[in-house]
Amino acid sequence: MESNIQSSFIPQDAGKPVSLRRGGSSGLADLTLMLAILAFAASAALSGGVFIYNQYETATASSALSQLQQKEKEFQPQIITQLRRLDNRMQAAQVILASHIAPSVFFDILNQITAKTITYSSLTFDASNPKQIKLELDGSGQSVNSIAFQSNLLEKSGVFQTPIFSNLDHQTDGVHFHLSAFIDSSTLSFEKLTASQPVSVAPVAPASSSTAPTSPFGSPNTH
Amino acid sequence: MIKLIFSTLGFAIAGVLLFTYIEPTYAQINVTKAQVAQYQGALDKAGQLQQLQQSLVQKYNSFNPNDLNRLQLMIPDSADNISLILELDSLASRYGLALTNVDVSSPGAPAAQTPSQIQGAVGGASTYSVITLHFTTFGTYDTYRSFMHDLEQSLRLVDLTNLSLAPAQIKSSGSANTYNFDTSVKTYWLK
Repeated sequence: MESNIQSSFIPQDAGKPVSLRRGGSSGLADLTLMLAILAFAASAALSGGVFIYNQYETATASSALSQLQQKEKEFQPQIITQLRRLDNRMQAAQVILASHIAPSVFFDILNQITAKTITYSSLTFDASNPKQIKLELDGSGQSVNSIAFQSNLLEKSGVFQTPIFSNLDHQTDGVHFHLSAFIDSSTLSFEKLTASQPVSVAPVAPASSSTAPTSPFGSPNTH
Repeated sequence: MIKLIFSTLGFAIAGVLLFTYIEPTYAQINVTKAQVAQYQGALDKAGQLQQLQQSLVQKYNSFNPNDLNRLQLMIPDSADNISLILELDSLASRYGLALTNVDVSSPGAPAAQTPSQIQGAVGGASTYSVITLHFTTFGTYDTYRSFMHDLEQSLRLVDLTNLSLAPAQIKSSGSANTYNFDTSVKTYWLK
């Protein structure tokens, strides 16, 4: 007779294979759910991060913009214009002074190198091109020899370039002539003259004087 | 079934967030970053310019105001023709010379501007203009020399461009001969 009492504490169905069909489906669903949760969490975290980063960048941009606007306000356009004008004025003065000539020096030189036997009656001084000053003179001399002597003096002076005497004409009061020449403009350069004679030609304003000159022609020797 | 619904919902929300918020916001962040970089560059340059401005202002303040006024008179802000004529007349009258046939060429006249203008250092544009003044006077050679001497040393830059000297038809009461002096001078003003 078969007894109902179990001889072993091990259940009889313990060794039988368990059906996995239902359990596998549930696991895939769990995995999918887990992935979905992960994706959701990651996207939520990314959204938060992106939101904060965006806020930070926007705040940085607005801060930089306000700083830039502040800097813009700190610039004073009037001062910049004033400085630029002064710069232009100084540069222009430098250029103009470089070509500024002193015609009185020419008159002094002409006085010095004119022979006593020569007289000039008319003069044309053309400095429209400061680099090549043209000179035309009409005059008369006691003789042809005195004109030759004058020509020699002009050539030796180094100031007059290619002096040409022409239209020589014997008259009762002497020999009339026409003289044309070019002048070496560097000898009349105001800048060079003032550089060699800084005290006499270009005195500075008296230190005690606090008022600016009102007239450019008010007093000589004012450069 | 519920798990499937939640999974689908989870993926859907993640996808929606990714494509409707994260991606456009990230693009916006890149634009903002580029803007910030531009602002920073501008701020750096503004800082440099501010330093430059400060150093220039310091230099400007170190100039003697008298010298600045003299420079202003040397090359004034405007042509000021009438004032120039009056000043020249005043200068000539010191030597007993009278200016006649005074003529000022227009500052805008090409003949006065084109050959005489220089190219300025900034941007190659000319920084000053030229006006030409023509006048006739008569007197002795010595007085004219003195007049020219003062004129060439006047604070307002005046350059002799043309001089024609010829004996005058009449003689002065003194023994010295008088001459007609046909003179052209040019002067300058800042544009």
